[in-house]
Amino acid sequence: MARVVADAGGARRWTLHLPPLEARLVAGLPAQIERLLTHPEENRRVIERLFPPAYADAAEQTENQRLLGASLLEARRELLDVVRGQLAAATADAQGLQIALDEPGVDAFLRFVNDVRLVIATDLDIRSNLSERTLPPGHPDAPRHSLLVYLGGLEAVLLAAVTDGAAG
Amino acid sequence: MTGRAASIAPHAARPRTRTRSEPAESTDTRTSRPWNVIVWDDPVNLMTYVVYVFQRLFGWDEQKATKHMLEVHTQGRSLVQSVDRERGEFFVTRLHGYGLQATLERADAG
Repeated sequence: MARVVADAGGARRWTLHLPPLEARLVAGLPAQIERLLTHPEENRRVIERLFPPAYADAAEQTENQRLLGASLLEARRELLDVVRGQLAAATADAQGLQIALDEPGVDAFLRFVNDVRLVIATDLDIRSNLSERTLPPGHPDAPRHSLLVYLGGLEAVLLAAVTDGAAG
Repeated sequence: MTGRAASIAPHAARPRTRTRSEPAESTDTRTSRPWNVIVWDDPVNLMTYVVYVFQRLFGWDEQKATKHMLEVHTQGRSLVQSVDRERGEFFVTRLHGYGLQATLERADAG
């Protein structure tokens, strides 16, 4: 299971340790988001979840989208670049992958993991509390649901590490 | 479950210059607080993640961030900022960047 270790010395830096199987899983995630951002027209529902409306009023939202849409998409691509850089700079060995994260880095990694969770959950059409959802064995959505649950655990581990001892 | 504001009153045309950097805080109290930033409930985002985002974006302590997270969770929405429009749009954009559902509405929209 993934674990996060705070670097010694009091600096707000961490190392995320991912066992080999989890490392392979996580390494493949940026490409999935990249495909989504490159072809937004192919999955409008997921794109709308990643870029929700800022206004309830349709005219306001259209204007907001016109002014900000391209830069919001670009910001998501920049986030992908950051995470790809973190994965590329990680240390790989028989134990898996060790990803060094400073405070902005762990924030970016968290946002990325959360984005992936939102994409999967939207794709699975999850509309009620995730923890209340169970799938029977052999259900076709079970693998993606398991990935969603795993990423929730990874996010929780990262959050616990970054908020531990943080100033209020 | 995610809700949505019922309506937003129309507003006068204004210059719309956008930036991803944080706008300066307005000191004009008459115009500085006519817009509310609302965060809506979502079945996927972790409670601890929402608390983290509130602390990070708004500089709140854990107690205040948790109070607003619980409002979102139990009441479906929480008013997290009352600010001028430009600053409100900045906050909504940042909240969206973290994957939270947030909207901007006029404070007097009812």
